[in-house]
Amino acid sequence: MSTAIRTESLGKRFGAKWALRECSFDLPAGRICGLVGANGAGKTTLLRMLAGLSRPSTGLAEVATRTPADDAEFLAEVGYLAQEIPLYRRWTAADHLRMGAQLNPRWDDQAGRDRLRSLRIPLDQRIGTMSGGQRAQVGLALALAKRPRVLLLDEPVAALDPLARREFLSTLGEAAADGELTVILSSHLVTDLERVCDHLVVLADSRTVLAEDLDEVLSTHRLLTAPRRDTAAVERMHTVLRIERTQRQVNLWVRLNGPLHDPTWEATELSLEEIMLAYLGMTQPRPEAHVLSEVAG
Amino acid sequence: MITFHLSTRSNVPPYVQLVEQVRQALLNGTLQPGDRLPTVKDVVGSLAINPNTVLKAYRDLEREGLVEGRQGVGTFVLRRPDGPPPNEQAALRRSLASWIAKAQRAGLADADIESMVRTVLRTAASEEAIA
Amino acid sequence: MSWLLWRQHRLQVAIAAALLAAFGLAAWITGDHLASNLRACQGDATCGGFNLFRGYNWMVTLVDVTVLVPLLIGVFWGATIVGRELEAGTAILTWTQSVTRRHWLRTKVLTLFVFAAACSGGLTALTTWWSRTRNATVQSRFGGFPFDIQGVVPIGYTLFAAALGLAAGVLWRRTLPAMATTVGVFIALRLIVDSFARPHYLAPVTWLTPLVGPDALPQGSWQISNELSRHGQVLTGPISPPAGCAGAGSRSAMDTCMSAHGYRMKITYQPASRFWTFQWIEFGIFAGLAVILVAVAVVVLRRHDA
Repeated sequence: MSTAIRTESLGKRFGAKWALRECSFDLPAGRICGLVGANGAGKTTLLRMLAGLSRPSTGLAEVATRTPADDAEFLAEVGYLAQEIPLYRRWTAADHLRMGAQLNPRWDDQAGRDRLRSLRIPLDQRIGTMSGGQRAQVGLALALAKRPRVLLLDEPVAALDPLARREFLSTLGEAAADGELTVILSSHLVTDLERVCDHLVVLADSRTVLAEDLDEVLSTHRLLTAPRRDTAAVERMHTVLRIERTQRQVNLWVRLNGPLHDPTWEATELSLEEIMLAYLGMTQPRPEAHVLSEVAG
Repeated sequence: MITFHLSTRSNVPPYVQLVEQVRQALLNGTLQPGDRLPTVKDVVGSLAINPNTVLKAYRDLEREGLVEGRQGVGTFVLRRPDGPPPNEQAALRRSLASWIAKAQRAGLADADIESMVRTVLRTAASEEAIA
Repeated sequence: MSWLLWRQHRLQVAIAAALLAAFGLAAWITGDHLASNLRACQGDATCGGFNLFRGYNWMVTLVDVTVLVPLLIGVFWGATIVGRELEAGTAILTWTQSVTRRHWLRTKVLTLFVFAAACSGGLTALTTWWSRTRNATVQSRFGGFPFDIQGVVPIGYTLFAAALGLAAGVLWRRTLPAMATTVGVFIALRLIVDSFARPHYLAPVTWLTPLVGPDALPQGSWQISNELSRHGQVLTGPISPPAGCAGAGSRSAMDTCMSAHGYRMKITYQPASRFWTFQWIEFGIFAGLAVILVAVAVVVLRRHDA
């Protein structure tokens, strides 16, 4: 399986409102992909459709070479952790592991127990008495113990303190270290994304505006600065995300589609946060917005 | 065993930081040929970074001939990178430290120091090219 | 999914079993006593109901209170078995642990109904057995309240309440509105069926009886109405005695006179022999409603996104 997830013009409508539309991207296997977007941009909608919990209104999706559906074979391949981390409050972690062992065709109980033990999370403590970070770890352990090929995480660390977040991402990275797992992780926190993700999908205005390997993103996006002048030449060749004109100079946030021939433009590297803000600030996505998963090379 | 750390404020990409830390460790003797580098899993576990970052760093080191990955066993150090022996390294480091202290006392900020170093390096490189 | 269901509901099962056992014990002991007391005083004047049941009023109340059990089952089991999970989001946990929504719902529905029917069946068997003495003496099992707590209808009510709770839980996806809906609709429907439908399952039998003479129905019948009539016409409003009877002295003399003038008591009733027919008809109504509600719940859950 070389492509873990593929979507084509995937869309979901609730009544008259489109929560997600024209969502198209390919995610190669083994990646840890960050899913970014403003609140309401469609991240949860997308993840639920990929998990088979929600039916698309238009378009198609393919996850682990299968179409998401409410059937046991598909459900066994995909792990999902909802934002609220639903667990039975009166149960213990051991109860949840036992339930997982009963319900899933593939279940690595020992790995789940070892993981929780190494995090010093007691197996016989009630979930209701655990901290947010511990609950998130239990949720993750359950999702991983079923040996899925694809793991979908909906803002799992949003409510966690920095230490709990770090531990969560460590656990996640370790689980993905052997390359057998593909992960999509929706998040707002740029620092987390920079550390643990190697692929990025950005949603703006409920559409995909960027879907690329993180290294590509960082190496192709630049801030171009020059004394105030006409920008048509640059706009023709490259993808301009944002233009800012002051009295004396003009700033362009661009994605370079080739070498920059004009040496009078001063090019500075952009941080991931600045790149993301430029995309998220685009209210009208440009038709040429780049949504390749891998640029050749 | 070497332990890695990452500086998020630095402009240097994470995998390059890892490579540099291994090189430094080899140069100043913390790592010896034959030592085993931490597994990808261990590094990811302690730093919470992407496994591919570690793989890339180890691949780079392998390409330079400094380490060798053995299937199922681990990644082992082959040799030291070309450069001065540990005690000379230490001496250079000490004189750098005192120069930096001097520059800071003169009023240079860290960023200014860094860009001065970069400029001098660039000049030295182009002079060498001409020579 | 069996371990999952057991772990989730083991407390409820234990409580229900304990309550049923306690009730069974009380019913067995008191029922036995009452039956033997009845045999002992057969024909005796002391067999009047109040003497017979003196000291057992608490049990009488307890048996009457079982009329609430179907509603309790509907509210605490029906409305929560699906509704609670949807509300708390734990349904998603199970669905992403390789259990399809179809299988999940089917298993839950089956468990709910088997369990509800078993509890109700056990309880009803006990109340029916216990009520023999009451049926033979102080009450007619056919009319009103006693009809509701023995025979087979309580099982029907239970299935209906459980289905109602289930459907409400699926529709609202929250426990409290589901419970409230269950209570409201259950009570309303029971009252409607009780008052308007039940008397007419089969056409009542009419009995015209002279004002003097027997006017009591056989034990176990259900009197629907009791009106004064003359020559086939039901009379309403204040009755003035006919001209020829004005001088009647006593009440019985008046009655004899009026009978002679064509006045009759028109009694409509359901004969005791129809008791079980009515029980099964009403059971059928509520069981049928239960089936419809389950179908609605299944369709709604399937159509709706998780």
